Amino acid sequence: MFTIPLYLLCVLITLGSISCQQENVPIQRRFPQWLTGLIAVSVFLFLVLVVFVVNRVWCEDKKKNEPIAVNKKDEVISNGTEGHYAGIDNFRSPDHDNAYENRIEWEEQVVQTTAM
Amino acid sequence: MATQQPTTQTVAINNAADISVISIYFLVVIGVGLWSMRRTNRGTVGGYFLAGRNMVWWPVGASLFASNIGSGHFIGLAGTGAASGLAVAGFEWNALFVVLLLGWVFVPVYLTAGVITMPQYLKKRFGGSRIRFYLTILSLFLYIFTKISVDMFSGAVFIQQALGWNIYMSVIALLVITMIYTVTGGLAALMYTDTVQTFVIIAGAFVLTGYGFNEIGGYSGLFEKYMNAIPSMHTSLEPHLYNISEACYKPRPDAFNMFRDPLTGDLPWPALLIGLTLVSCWYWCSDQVIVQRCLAGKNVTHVKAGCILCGYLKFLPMFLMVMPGMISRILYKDEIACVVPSECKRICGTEVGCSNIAYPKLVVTIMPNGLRGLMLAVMLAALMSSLASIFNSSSTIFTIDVWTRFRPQAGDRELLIVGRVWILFLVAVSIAWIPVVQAAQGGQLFDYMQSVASYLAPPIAAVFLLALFVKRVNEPGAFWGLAGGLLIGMIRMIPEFIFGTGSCLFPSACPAIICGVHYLYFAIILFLCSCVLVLGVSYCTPPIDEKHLHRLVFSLRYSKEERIDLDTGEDDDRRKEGVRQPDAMENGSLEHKMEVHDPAAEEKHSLARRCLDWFCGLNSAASELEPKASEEELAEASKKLTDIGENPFWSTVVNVNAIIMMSFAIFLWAYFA
Repeated sequence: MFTIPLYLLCVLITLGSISCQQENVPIQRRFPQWLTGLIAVSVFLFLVLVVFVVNRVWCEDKKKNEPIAVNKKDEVISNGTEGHYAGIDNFRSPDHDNAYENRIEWEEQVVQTTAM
Repeated sequence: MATQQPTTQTVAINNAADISVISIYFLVVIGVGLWSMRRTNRGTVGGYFLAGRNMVWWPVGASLFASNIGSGHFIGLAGTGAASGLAVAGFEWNALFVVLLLGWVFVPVYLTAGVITMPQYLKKRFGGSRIRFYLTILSLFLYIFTKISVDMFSGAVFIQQALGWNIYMSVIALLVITMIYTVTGGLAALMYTDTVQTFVIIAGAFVLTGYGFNEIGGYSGLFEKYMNAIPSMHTSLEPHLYNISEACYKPRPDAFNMFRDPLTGDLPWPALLIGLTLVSCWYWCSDQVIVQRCLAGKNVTHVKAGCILCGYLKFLPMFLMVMPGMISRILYKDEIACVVPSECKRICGTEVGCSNIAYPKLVVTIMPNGLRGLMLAVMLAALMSSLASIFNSSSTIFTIDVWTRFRPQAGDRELLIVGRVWILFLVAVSIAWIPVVQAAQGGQLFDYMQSVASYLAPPIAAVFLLALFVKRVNEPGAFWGLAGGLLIGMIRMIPEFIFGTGSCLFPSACPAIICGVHYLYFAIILFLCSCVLVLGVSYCTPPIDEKHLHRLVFSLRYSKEERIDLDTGEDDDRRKEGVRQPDAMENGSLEHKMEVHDPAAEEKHSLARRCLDWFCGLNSAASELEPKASEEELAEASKKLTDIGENPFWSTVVNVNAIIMMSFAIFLWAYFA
């Protein structure tokens, strides 16, 4: 598997050593190509590991603080759901008993009129 | 502008093997298209609304690849590879990372927002209608200048080389084929046929690459011989007018490196890493053609897997297109690497250079009978899949985002006709732009395409990135960012086109301060300026309330709160009569958008007329047979569609796969660095 890049390396070295008047010479490399690749992949995987560990640690911290914050958020926002957007989750407004009941009454009224 | 007929051997595709291969290919593609059209018309309860959203990962991935790879890539990548070496593959390998960004960051937000077009997303995010309108117009311009004309030109070059026809005749022939394909197909048909065409493209390209390497003595032969691929005619015929410097015809010393000098290189490495990523962000993450394929995915995990598949396929262009381009230069150095203007004109009809014919020349000369027909089929596959997708997407955004703004009362039939007339208009403009494409960027097609994208796309990428991640960004900020960015882009683009990009022998007269900066560096500058504008204007104007932003920004993508839409009431109210159509569109089933709800007129049509209607997608019978979904089913359906929850096991599988793919990518980047 490594023979091709090594052969390539030899070719490049040979090319460089020929004195060139007519011939065009590519830029010489310091390391073999496969080595450069391997180093880059190792660095990348190390960074992924670091990010993963940091994420784990950071998420654990956040989870401890989260339950308090979420409840506060719910109470603040749910007040604005006064039937604007007939959306999917409107059965999930636990704060206002009245809002829910009103909706049912309204529906019942509609049913009554069309039945006639 | 009459182009001389090239005097290279015009091998006509006139033998039985070639013709039969091409015919079989067409039959297979049309067959798959018809099968998929029938398949998506079948309905179950509620299936009407979810029919367009059941693509699993492999058609998503294949379609992403096939939509992206057009004939412009074959011609452009091979041509630039022939002229300047391996670095151009960086354009493809950069996409490996950006496509992951698409699947992990952008698509979840688009899905949970419940949009099908990108201008629609911006409308929901910012409110108002000017941004949506502006983006539509700009996107259409970009399609014409960078995709349609490039792909048509490339396809025409190929036909010209293969059959010897005049370039405009070739273009018209291509368009006829693509029009048949586009007018009949819907999104589902496109995506399934894309899968077939991906196979054809990859198989054919592999065969050609095999033959090519065989001719020059293997993989190492390429690297030995490329440096000596110098044309024999390299002295000026008119020394009093110009001299030909060595750099204009000798292969570059850094031809085998992907990372080139930041100041003197033709593709500097910071530009490749940063500038190109920004332009790619526009192309992969905020452009209708690509995103539309992801939005048709079954769920987020399938979309992510499809993105990974597309990424793996994007490894191939280096080996299947760039290297064959270099092989072509080695084998036909006097023609591909021609430098004397009169000689080039004789060879390929344009004075600036003949690197564009690298790939077709290789196909026409070294492939045996039958396989040559296959390669023509491959080119047609690449061209048709890209063009059809672009036509489909651009007509979608034109009808939804532009036409309905001016004629809100337009019925569905009118919209369908408008969409198709629009396609004809696009095609006409693109044909007219072909001469510019031919001569641009020293005859380097790929450079032309990327440079135009670099002048126009960064503001869009900036707005989308900021819209997704920064809640403070509001409508005036986005609009003025886009407008200002366009102005700055024009400052560079207009002089460059007026003065011309010149060639190695006759550099352009464009002042260095404007045109001296590499176009990808300019993309970085433009992106930064747009960001500054967007953020500056946003912080000076009132913010958008968080209640309008649930599931529209990345940080709120899992939010279960109700969203008060900034765009409720406007367009959707006006089209109340076709109330099913917005729903169909909401659910991304674009092929059902093509169906007209017109029960009264339906029975009167004759059988012939009904067949024609069905073929053209104006079918109303299927929607009649669909049982009407009830309120609860509608709510259930839309809830399911905007759900971005994932099975944790498959999510991990997909994430691990993504990391593996990135490792391969980084290895190859470093290997060829």
